[in-house]
Amino acid sequence: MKKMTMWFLALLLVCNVALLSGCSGRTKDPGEPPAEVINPGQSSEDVTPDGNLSRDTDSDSSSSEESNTGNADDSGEVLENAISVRIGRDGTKEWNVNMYNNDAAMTMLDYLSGSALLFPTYTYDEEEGFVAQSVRGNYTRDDEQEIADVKAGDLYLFSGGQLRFYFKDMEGADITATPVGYYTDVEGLTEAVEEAYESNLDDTWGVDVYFWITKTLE
Amino acid sequence: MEMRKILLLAAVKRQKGSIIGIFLLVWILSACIFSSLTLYISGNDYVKGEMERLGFGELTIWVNGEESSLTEQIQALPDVEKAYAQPLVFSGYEINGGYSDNEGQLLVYDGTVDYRFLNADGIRTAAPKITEGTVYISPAMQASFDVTVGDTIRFELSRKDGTYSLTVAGYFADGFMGSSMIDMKSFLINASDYENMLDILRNTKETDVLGKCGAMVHVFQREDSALTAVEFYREIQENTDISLHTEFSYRRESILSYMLLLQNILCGFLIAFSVVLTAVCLIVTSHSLSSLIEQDKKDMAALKTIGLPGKQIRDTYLTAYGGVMLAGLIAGLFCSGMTARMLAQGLVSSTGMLVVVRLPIVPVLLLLGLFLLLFAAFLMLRTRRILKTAPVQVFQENPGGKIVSSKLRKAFLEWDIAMREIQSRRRNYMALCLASFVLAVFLSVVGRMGSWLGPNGEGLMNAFSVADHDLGVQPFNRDVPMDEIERVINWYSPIRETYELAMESVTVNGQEYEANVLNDTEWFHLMEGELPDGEGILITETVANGLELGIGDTVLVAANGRAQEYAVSGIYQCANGMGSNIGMSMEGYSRIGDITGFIWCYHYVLEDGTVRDYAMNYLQEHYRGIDVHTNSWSGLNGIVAMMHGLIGVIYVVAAVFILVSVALSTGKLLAYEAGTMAVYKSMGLSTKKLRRSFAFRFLIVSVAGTVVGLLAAAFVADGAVGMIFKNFGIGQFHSGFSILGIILPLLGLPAMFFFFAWAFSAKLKQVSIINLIHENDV
Repeated sequence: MKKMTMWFLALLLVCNVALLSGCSGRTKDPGEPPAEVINPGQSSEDVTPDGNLSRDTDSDSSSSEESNTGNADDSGEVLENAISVRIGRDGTKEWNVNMYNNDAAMTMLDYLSGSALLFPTYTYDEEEGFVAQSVRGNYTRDDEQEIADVKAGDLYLFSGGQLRFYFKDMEGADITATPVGYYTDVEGLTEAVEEAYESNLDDTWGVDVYFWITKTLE
Repeated sequence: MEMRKILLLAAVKRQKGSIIGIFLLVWILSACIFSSLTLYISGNDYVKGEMERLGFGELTIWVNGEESSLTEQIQALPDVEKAYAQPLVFSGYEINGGYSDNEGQLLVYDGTVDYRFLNADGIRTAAPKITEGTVYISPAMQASFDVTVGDTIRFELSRKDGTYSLTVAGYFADGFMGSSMIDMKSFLINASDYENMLDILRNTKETDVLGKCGAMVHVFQREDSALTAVEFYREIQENTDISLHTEFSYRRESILSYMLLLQNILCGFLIAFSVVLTAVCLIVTSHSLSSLIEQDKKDMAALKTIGLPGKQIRDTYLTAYGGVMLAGLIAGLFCSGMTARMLAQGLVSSTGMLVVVRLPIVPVLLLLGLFLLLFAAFLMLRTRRILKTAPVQVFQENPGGKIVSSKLRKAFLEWDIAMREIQSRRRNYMALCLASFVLAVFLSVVGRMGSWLGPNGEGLMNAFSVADHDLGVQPFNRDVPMDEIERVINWYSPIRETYELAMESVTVNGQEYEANVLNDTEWFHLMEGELPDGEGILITETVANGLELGIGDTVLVAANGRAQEYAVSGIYQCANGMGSNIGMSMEGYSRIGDITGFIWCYHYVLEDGTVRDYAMNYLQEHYRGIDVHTNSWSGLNGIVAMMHGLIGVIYVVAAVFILVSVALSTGKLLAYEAGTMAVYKSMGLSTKKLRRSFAFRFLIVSVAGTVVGLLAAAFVADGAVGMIFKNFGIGQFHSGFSILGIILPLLGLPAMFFFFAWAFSAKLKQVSIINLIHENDV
């Protein structure tokens, strides 16, 4: 009987050791990613160490060339009144903005919520008629287009992540960018931006124009 | 007197197995509870003493720059008893390819502060003379960097040729930064190395400088000062220039609780285990006592008939069992000092110092008295029957248990016999059922804690970090190819979730804190209240206590020269900066800070978090301009290994408990059933079948107890563990389905009851028809 008891105890200890070693087990080193992961141009697919197709995170896709035609209006479905914007730190008027249903616009919308976000812009170009700021996010260039003329209220995302808000009609602008949205009402827009810029000249951070942005899309 | 002695010896002889079993149980219980009490009190006293000895102020403020005038300004305040500065150099460092998450603080060792030096095991050694080019470190760093004597630590003071290498020459007990729970670590160096470092810092262009000089300013409050801790800190901030130089500041209590956090968690674990052990001990004792009384009933009746009072008979049993329990308690108490020392030794790599263990006499005596009272009351209660038993009643009783009439089917003979015996001796089996219930609840709770902890300590990491993640990447310039980096991470493991975190310095009602800003507030570990919108903030319990704030209160948060009012929307959990932090939404922070800068760290939750270290190493080696980290901190591996080890020990001790419980029960049941078994054997049932049938009874009752226990654990475990963890700074505990918490107890407990019962039923081999004849003779 003693022998049997010892045998069971030994078995129990082995089970415990196995259990615990399982708890702290270390995964085998998967090595280093192949060249086609670093530079996707070398291969059509990103392949994970176990051979699965990985999530597409490519922002430098060659497919952008295929969609470089057409106007902003051709971008497909529009998300009506997706965001609401107040121009200037003390701005009170709410401007409704429609957003295009493309990846770039959706990525931007992901950053917003029902609470107003104070968004500073550090570039004000009166001559070119836009206010710009680099934005965070991993953006595709799939919906990039060549656009000849831009209108006041248009929002475009440029390669490198610069978001431009045109507050003036600019004929012959000839830009290559992804249209992300447009103000639904442009009456008084130019003046509102100019006024916000003027009132912000002594900003301690050096911000040109502030925008309060609220996501209104459900 | 002679009669009692004979009775006592007879009782001890008959219940030898039970008595040894009870002794072992009480011994383990006693060693467990007294060692945890000893460790808890000794650890607190020792670390507190070390902090005082090393001169940690009631409040210590870490400042940057060479600002000697600060101490004078503080010293001049009416509520300040004294203030003094300990100069240091802040610097990031690299050891064996691993980079520090936080800056280390390099201090000159010149003997003015009485640091204690240790060997690798934490044993005190003589104070050395630190030579040029060498450094002494906390032993807690062994676990985090796999560093040992002779390794090189590279301190990064400037971007251009500013790496200063020092060789590890030994270890020292760092009384207030040594714990692996504290990311920042102290290093003791030679005075000329310190001067060389200062030269590098002074001669490096501002754009290239990485390290900085500074000091720890230890401040002591006057005894007669009427200011609260918050008011005292505010007085210092408002009346001196310290806020312009403050890196961070901590009160003595905060540092003490972080130094002792792991030790207290360990003690909490052991105390919880002791509570369960006490319950199991009482169940087993009750079981053994009732069995003995049952066996001795006829002798007792005879003794009563010849005039021996019931009280004297009872005293015999009380002496036997009380004596064994007392012996167990004393034996455990003697072992507790050694056990506590072993635990303290095991904690060296976590606390960074070897706690000197001293038995706390008064608390130990109080606890011993409490246990003696409990055991005495329990034994008195359980032996009441002896006084009530009348001789005539005993002779008329049927000793064979409740008569049960049930069909015995040939195909299920072993099973049916088992069921019949369970029904017949329901009370005896109820005790086993109860034991399996208690063990199931406990093992389920322990298993759930093990699963929550995870193989790499994910549970602990998530509880202490701002938000759950596997990998964090913070780019510092626009040239960093984040899309490429994401492809690399994705190659190691598909990315399940992504969000962004910024950690910015702010003041709340004038006091400096770190603001954890998330673009998606759902990731905060909310404990109470609501997630913050653009006009709300979350605070930790540390901040709530420190600033005496509650949900709904309005606070003034300021940063970058701007201030806004926010409402406290909730309490959240994050032990970063030892709890001195607040949580904000991106919208909320945008009102006082610029959200467009390179302040954001991209956090990734991976499908397979175990590859995170490989991904981190690859990114660190191949990309510049980024900071990569995993959701971990120095010394976490040591803590996790110890917790896993403790869980393993608990499983082994639980198995020993089952072994003892089953041994006691089988002895008693086999004694009862010797006659019945002989009858079964005479009817042609083999010993093998009888043993299986016997083991089946244990299986049936343990399955019932385990299932009910697991159901009970499912309802109460999270809440109960959460309550315990809350005392140790972990505010949230959620365990879902887990193999350790559900499957293991469900299969393991009944299996062990079955196998042990089967093993102990080997006695049945000796049962024969002779027993039957003997039974009938009695």
